[in-house]
Amino acid sequence: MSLRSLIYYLTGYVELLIRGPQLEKFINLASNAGLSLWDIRRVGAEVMQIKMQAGSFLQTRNLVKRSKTNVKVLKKVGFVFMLRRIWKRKFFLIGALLCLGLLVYLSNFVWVIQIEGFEGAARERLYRELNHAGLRRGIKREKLLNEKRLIEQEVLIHTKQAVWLGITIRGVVAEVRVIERKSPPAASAGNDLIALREGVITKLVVVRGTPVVKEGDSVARGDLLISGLEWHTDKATGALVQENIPAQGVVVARVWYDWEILEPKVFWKIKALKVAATDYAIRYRGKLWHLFGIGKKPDQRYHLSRWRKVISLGRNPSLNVEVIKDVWSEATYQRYQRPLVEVKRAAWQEFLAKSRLLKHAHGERSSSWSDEGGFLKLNVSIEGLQDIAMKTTK
Amino acid sequence: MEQKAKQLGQKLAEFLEIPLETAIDWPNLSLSANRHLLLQNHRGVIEYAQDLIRINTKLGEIKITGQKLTIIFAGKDELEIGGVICQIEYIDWR
Repeated sequence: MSLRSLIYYLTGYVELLIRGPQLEKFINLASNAGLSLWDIRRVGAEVMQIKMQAGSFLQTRNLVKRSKTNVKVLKKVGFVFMLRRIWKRKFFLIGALLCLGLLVYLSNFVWVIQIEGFEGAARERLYRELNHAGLRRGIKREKLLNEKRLIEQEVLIHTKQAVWLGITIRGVVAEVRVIERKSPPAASAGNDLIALREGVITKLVVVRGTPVVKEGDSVARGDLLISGLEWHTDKATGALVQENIPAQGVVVARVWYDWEILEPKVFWKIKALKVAATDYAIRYRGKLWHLFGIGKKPDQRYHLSRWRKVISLGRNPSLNVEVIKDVWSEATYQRYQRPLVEVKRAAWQEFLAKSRLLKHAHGERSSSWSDEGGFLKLNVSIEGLQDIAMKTTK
Repeated sequence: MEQKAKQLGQKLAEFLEIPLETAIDWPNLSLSANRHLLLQNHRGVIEYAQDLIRINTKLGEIKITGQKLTIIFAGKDELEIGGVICQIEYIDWR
């Protein structure tokens, strides 16, 4: 369909049957009057079929008189005529609009989940994991977009065979691409060295055993590094003999430690108002004796402060008497917007407390901040070198 | 006088290497194989039948003979003709 045809279709055109002895005159008069005619066909001796724009049809009245021809409308074609026809069929129009609305509404959901990378039972298992994590048919696209990263992480944690997993949303289709973990040769218990954690090998020193990896290789936790199986030729018989020996060596790898620390930007602080009730009690030998109380305890939104005094009755601490005064106050919650400096300081403190637990977490450190709505997220990544070789447990 | 002015206009257009059909409204024919003919600067259709179309131009008449000839588009200055074109004749050209 050419552009001209498209414009004619949108604006609407009519197919006319013109009869008369002076058909050529009609064409000339119409073209001189600035009317566009197309698809002019001679149907008979004095009959011609033409197409013209619907808007110009009324102008032909004068031309018909002058050329002494007779015009009959054969067909009305175009979008405007179609709209007019549809407008008359109200229920059809309502149905079509409802159908369109339904389609638009349904396009907000994910209806197809495609998994690429796993086959057979593993695929079924992954499908179940995705379902469990929240990616199921009928989930809202917007919700999935928000939770995509969390779902990816959760499924990756629960799918041991997967080394990477990514979800892409295309229309109503959620494409799940997964990369399968390539399992290293099975470790012979007790004699092999396996990877303690994932990393890139930078140095490999084999004292005993057969190396399975080389420098520059990327390994995951549990991958076989140095095998305890050794082959040698028996001098007496000349045959190849397999021997299982305890592997020894040093496998230094570049490793990464990542932390994500979320720190809230807003706190809700409780503030005590007027005192509602006071309770007095004593504790002796582990038992609490209620003495008396003044006032009524508030049912909700209260603040409790406790005052204690220990009265010693000798050297034996079990004989101590504890006097307790509980003060119940009405309370209100106050929104406290933490200054950015305070939020950042708290996040760094939490990171330092966590990173102190790992002795290998020393090296090049890179950090970044990201705004997560009501939270500020600190991402810290530490890159360092570590001997990741570990003996397999018997 | 008018004739002289036109001749002068034609000479000027030739001198300035301006296409003649744009400078003076001479008919311009574009033919695609024997299936499609575009004629610009026409002065009306004299005769139209399935095997013959005669068109008037400023310089004379153009006679097109062929089979299943149709006028694809007829505008004020433009005429598109489709079908199997067998022959184009210039009749009484100046």
